[in-house]
Amino acid sequence: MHKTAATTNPIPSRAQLRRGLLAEAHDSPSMEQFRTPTARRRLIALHLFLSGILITVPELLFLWSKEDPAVPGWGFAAAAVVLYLPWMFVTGMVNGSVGGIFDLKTMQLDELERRDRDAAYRTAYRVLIPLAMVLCGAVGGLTAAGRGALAFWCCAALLFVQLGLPQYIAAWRLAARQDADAAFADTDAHGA
Amino acid sequence: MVHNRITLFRTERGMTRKALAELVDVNPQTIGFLERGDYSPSVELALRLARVFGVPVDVLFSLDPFPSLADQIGSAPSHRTES
Repeated sequence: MHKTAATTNPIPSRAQLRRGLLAEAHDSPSMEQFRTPTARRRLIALHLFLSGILITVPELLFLWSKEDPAVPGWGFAAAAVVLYLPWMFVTGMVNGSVGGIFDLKTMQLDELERRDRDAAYRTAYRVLIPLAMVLCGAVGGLTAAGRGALAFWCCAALLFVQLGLPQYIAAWRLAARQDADAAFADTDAHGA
Repeated sequence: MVHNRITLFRTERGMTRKALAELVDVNPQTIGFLERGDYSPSVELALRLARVFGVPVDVLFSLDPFPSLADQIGSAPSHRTES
């Protein structure tokens, strides 16, 4: 049957789409504290620092336990678990600082948020692909040279860069845009 | 680049960016980015903005820079009558 003029708008509004635990958490006013340019840049630095610690400390403990029998063999695993918790928490804050563009479904994002997310992935993978190729070569060389622990560290570093880089790029760009926006809003008495 | 008069229409109506963002279903930051001309909206968003302000889309957006209000007022014919 041919339908004529619709009386209701079939397209759900942003408010309707942004229902659900995750979207509501990202829309919560408490997340605003992570969305200032300074907070975004600090979160990137903190996340980078924690990622470095998380991939390095357990590795060092593992190597140490091999050399020193007094160091328990499970120490590296315990350190990994303990360090993973703050890393995960800060990962959530970095995600929150970019408005959850990497967490939420595409339909829950507006067109600029989608563009930001896609642009961040695009830039990140432009960096990651050559980096992965170099690291793969390094891993092959290190494994052949019998330095498996260092090869594992390279793989872990690549994994963490792959996880973090799109978020860092998006957060950094949003911070830069906010700075520009603040300068523009100085002349706008009604800016929100 | 697409030029727009969103700031002009929004301030004229006493709206905040957040209020306008809710009316057109976008993030308030998207409005800020649009107003600065750093982002060209999709046809859909442009039409939604025009509908909110109740003007044709070409009044709100243009491929050419809009003349300044001062220039427009200066070139408008005067309604005052010489006595």
